[in-house]
Amino acid sequence: MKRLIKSGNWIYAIAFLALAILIIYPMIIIVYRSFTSENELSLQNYITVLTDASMYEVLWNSLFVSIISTIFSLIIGVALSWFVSRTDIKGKRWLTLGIMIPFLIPSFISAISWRQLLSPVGYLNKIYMELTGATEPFVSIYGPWGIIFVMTVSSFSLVFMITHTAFQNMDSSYEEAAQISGASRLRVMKDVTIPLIKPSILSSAVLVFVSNISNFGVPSILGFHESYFVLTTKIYQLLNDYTIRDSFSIAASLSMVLVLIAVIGIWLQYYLTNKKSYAVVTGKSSQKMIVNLGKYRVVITTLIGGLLFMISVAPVLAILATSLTKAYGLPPTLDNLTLENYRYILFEMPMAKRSLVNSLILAFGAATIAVGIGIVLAYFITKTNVKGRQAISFIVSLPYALPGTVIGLAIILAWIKPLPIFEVSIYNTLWIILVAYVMYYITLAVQTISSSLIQVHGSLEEAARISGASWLQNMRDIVLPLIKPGVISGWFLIFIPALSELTISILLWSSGNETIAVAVYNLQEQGNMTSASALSMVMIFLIIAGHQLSNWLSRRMNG
Amino acid sequence: MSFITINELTKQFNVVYAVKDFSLKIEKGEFISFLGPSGCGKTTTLRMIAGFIEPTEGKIQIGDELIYGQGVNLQPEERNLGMVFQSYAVWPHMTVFENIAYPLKIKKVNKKKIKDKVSQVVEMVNLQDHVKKYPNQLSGGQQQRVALARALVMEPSLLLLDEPLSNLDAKLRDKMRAEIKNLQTRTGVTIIYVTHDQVEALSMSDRIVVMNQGVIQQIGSPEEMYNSPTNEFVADFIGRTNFLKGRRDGSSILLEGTSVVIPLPASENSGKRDVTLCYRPESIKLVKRHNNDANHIQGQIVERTYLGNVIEYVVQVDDVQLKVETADKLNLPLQTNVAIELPEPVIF
Repeated sequence: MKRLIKSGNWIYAIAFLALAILIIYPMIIIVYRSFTSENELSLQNYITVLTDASMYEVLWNSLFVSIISTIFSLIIGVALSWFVSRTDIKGKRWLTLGIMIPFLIPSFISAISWRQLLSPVGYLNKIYMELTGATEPFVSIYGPWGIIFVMTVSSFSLVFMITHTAFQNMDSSYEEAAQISGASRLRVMKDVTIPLIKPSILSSAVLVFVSNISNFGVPSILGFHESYFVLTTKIYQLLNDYTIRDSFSIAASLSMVLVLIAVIGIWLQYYLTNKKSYAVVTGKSSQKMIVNLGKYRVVITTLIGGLLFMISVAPVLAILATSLTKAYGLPPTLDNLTLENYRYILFEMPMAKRSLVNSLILAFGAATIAVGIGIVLAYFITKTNVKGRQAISFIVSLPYALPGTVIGLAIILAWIKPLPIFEVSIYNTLWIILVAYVMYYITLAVQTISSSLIQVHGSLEEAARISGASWLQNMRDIVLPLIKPGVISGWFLIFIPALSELTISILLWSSGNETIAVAVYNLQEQGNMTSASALSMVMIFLIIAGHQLSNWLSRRMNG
Repeated sequence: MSFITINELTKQFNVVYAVKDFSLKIEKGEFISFLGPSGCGKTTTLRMIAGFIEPTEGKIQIGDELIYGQGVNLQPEERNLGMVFQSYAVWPHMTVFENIAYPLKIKKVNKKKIKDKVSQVVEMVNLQDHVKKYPNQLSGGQQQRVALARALVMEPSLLLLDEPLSNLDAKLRDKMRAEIKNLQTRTGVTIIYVTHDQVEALSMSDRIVVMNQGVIQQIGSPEEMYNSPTNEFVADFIGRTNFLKGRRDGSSILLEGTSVVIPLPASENSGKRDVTLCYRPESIKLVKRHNNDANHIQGQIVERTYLGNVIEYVVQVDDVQLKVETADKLNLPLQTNVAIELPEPVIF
């Protein structure tokens, strides 16, 4: 195998160089900066972070909203997956669709739509005040409980997906054995079913928690109004506040707290998935034990359907309604309907037009570059036995596990100075966002391509070599055609989320270099809700179109 | 000079020798089998010849070209070899035609010539009706033929076969065995064939190399292997054998556990006191009655297995049990008292 590498050496060299520049260098810089104060090595930043009461509060806020929203997501997600997979509830296909909608909508869009519904002047509060004659709104979405609410409705889908798979793959004979032993159906549920899917529940809990503590959009849209800060929004504020001395270094040490939490998360996830081996995933789709809901069947179906409509469909309808009205706040009657907002953002407003082009360029570029480097690194990790490939694998797995805020900050610190030879800085250009996207998403590329490469048996490549093919010819004629489906799905796995990326872009954008998410964010901060909503709808359309295209391509390749 | 010369080829993984001091000369057109249990180093040796594993030491020469040794190490694609893999390694994204044409395409042979050459080998392996199909539309045996055709299309100087029949069912294996042998006779290609199946090695090879724990045990024709194995391992691995311990006493040998004394064979001149004697089950003769010949030994049938063409008995002689195979219709019940006649043994 060592010989096989030889002819591809220069390609590996390029990939490792990219890895060093894209991942290792920014990570070193951010750690280094967290230990420097006024250009000298010191622990001052950490002392500031640990002694300042307002910083404590930020950490506490982050933990509070993330933990509570994780618990709510687990309750809703597990309950829904149980109802859908283990009861005779009606309309399972429609319910599943309703559950999956929040998964497609970026969480900051969800925050904006809930703001339109439940801010003190939101649609629902208005209706309430008109109906009851009250002068005070019913409820306000701003503050911690609003953040928890939106985080919950944005992340229960993930819990549902993971635990639903576990329910589906579970071998029913375990449950039947309990039943034969005399346990009632509910007892079986409590004694056998739930304990068996516990690893899946815990693992989804870790994922949701890390994702929520890394979230920037929701706490910023619903927290800034009340000066309620969490780690990610505090770091953002520090970077935009030039009055604080050494604000970048303090931000760097604050981001180390996020890194620590994320690393504990990775470790827990790793621990849980490796321990999960006792789980019962046989893949055998035998007859599942179904609980008969009896006379409650219709009531429960209606309740769950209604709830899903409220938390999945209503927000989209709210944004759609706003995007079609002449001015925000007008009731959505026929008289007020217009397509003007769409015309405005698509053909007139320069920032909105630019942002669409920028995001398409960035998503396309990041997906293509990450997949290109990813192919080489994945090949190195899976197909060679060179020492140190495990280290490469670990380094590559880091960026996507870290909060976007950390990535954004690391990229700023690493690239703010002019490049050595060219004497220009990529800071304040579109390039810096591209570099950050590639760093962040390369993990996804390497992971999907690695799993396709593992399926390619070594003898297929050896047969090519013995037939006279060089390393490159073997790659071109044998390896790449065989992993093409994995490469394409990896590309879309990056392209689609990159289209709506907010957390990293908000730290790196500059005038003229807005992404769609940044434009939506800025428009709604300026109070231009109609344009923000129209642009959000365009973004949602692009995301759905991306998914459809990806599904269509993978069906065509596999069929 | 021989066509292929392999000199003291060695592969060391850390402190373990996978292959040690492997030396072999092969003549043009020979069919050589590497035979041994799994982990004996036969596949490692083959992959060193192919260029997939770099030897720790040694030299490989094919024709007048040095392909490994003295600082030379040709890449697999530079060695001009054909190889058939255990898993066939037929590329699933290419048609039968594209698979077979690939080595020619790499060599930039012109289209017309590729077509001629491919149809020539396709005919040789009997795949005329399948050239446009993809591998997933073919049976295991047909995929095996695609792999063979792809290996032969370059007219390689040497064809390497790595347990090519082990994934096929028994009937098909017999058929492919005959076809491979037939192909070799027609093309005159030199073949190295790796297998753990003694029947394959015995039936196809001109010479067999038996390996164990990285070391060559014996090199010889199938007949030599069977009739005069040079050590206990070879005798045990090829065919079935009764091993008996014996003690030398002047010009005779006492078989341990019995009162039987046999004359010292003329071939035995090692002078060792304790020896091992090998008897093939089919070489031992079973007779019903005892007729006081010195070579006739008394025993009793304790096990009997009917196998259709032969009957296998286990005969108890004092404290020793001997396997005896009879092809004749001598059908004896258990507990029958019999006499056996021992042939001249192979002695170590």
